[in-house]
Amino acid sequence: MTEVAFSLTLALLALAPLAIAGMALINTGLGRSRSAAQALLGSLIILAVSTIVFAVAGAALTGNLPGAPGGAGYVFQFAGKPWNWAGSAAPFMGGFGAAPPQAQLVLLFEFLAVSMAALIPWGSGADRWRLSAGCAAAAVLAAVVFPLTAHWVWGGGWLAQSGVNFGLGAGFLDGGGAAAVHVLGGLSALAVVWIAGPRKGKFPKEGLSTAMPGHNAVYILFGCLLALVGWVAWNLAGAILWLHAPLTSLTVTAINTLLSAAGALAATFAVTRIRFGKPDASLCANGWLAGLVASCAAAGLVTPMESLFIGLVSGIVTPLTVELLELALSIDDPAGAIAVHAASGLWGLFAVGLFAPLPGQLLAQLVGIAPLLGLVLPLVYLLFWLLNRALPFRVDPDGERIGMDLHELGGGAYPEFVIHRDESYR
Amino acid sequence: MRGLGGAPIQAGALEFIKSSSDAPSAIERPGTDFVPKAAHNCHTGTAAQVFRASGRFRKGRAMKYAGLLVMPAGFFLAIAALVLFPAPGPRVAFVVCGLAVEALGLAVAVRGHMEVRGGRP
Repeated sequence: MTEVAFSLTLALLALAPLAIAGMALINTGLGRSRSAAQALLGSLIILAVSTIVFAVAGAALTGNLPGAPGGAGYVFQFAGKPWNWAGSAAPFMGGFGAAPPQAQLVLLFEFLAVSMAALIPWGSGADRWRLSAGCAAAAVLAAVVFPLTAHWVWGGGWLAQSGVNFGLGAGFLDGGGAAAVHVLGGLSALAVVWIAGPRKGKFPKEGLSTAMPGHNAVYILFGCLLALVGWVAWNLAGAILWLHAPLTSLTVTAINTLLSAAGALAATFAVTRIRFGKPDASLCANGWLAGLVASCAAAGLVTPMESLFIGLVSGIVTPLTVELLELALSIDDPAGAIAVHAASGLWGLFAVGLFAPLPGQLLAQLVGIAPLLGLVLPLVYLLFWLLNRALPFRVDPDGERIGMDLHELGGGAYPEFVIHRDESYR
Repeated sequence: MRGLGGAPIQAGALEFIKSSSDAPSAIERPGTDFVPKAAHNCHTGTAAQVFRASGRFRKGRAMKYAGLLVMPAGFFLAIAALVLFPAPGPRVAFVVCGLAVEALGLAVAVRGHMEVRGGRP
C-alpha cells in the first residue's frame, strides 16, 4: 500500500463514523418520544461496549493481526481442502504495534464495522429492549459472531478463499460489509424482535396492527443525509482495503453509492405515493438506507447503471417487506432493520454475482449467503435466547407504559414538552 | 420527580405511572417467551382460554425451533455441493437447493412466531 493510499484510507475511515451517527439518529427518530434519550444513549453505549469487547477478544478471531489478511487461523482439512474458519491472533490486540500499516487500517475498519453491526438490532428493539440487555447483546456480537463472519469474509477465511479452493470466481466479495455488517445486524434484529416480542398494543387481538409512527421525522431525514457521507467514505475505504481497487477507480464507487441510494429513494417515494396516496417520510428514509446497504456489496464492482438498478429494486422491495413483516408476519420492527439491512444486504450480495464480470461469481455469492442464513441466524438466536434467560431483554410492563426514558434513565428527552397519553394502552 | 437537566416531569407523564390497573395481561402480549408462565396468573381469561393460548404457544415454539434447526441443514447441503460436485451444473443446483431449505426453515420459524403470538393471519 502506497503512502497516498494509506493516507486516503485513513481519512475515509475518519469520515465513516458519520454512517453510525446517521443510523443512531434514524433509530431514535423512529422510536417514540418517551424512549428517545434511552435510544440515543443506548446507541452510544453499544458503540462503546462493542468497541471494548472487540479490542479485548473479538479482534483475535478476525485473523487480521499480526500480518496481512490471509494469515494464520484455525484450519481443518476436509475433502482435501483447507477450511479456515476462525482467526488465531493474540487477544488484547497483541501484535498490533508490529503489524504493517495496512493491517492496522483493516483493524480500524473492523472496529467501525462491529459498532455498526451491533447498533442495527438496537433500533428494532426500541421502546421495550432494556439498556443492559442491549449492551450484553452487543458484547456477544462483538466477541463471537461478528469476528467469525468478518474472518470468513475478510480475514482470509473459507469464504474469501472459495475462489482459490473451489474455483468460484474471485471468492466471496463484500467490499463494504453487506454480509459481515448489515446482514448480520439485520438477522440479529430479527432474533431480538422474536425474543423480546412486539410492543404493547402493537398487535391487538382484533383488527389490523396499530400504527406507531416515529416521533421525529427531522431526526430520521437528517440521519439519512449524515449516513450518506459516512456510507460513501465506508464504501471507498472498503474498496481499497478488501477489493484492492486502484485509486483511479474510486470515483465510480462513490457515484455508484450515490446512484444506488438515489434510485432506492425514488422507488420508495413512488411506491408509497401509489400505495398510500402520499409519500411516507419514514419509509422513504428506510428506502434511502436500503439503497445504501445494497451498495455496500456492489458499489466497487458494478457499473453506474447497474448500481441504479440495484437501488431501484431495493427501493421497491423495502416498503413492501416492511409492510409484509408487520401486517402479515406480526413482526414488530420499529426501525425496519430486517427489511433495510438483512433483505437489502442479501439483495446486494446477490447482485454482485449477477453483475460482476467474473465467471463463477454468482455461485460464490450464493455460497456466501448460505452461512448467513443457515448458520449465523440460528447461532445469534441461540446466543440471544441464552442471554435472555440470564438478563431478560424485555422491560417490565410498567416500564413499557411509562416509557424507557423515565424507567431506565429517570428523565425524559423532552422534559419541557407535554407528553400525551398513548391511546393504544387503554 | 425530575427529568434530564433537573426539569420537572409533567403531570401528563405521571398519568402513566398512576394508571397501573391496566397492566397488560399475558394473553395480551403474546409473542414473548414469558407468555405461558404468566398465562396461569391471568385473571381476565377462562381456564379454557388459558389452555388454548398455552397449547398454541407450545406448538408455535416447537415450530420456531424446528425451523431454526432446519436452516443449518440447508447450509450443510450448500457446502456438500462444493465438495461433492466439481461440475458447475449439479453444484449450482445443490447450492440453490440448500438455500431453498434455509428459506423453508425460515418460513417455518416465522410461522411458529405467528402461532406463538396468537394465530393472527
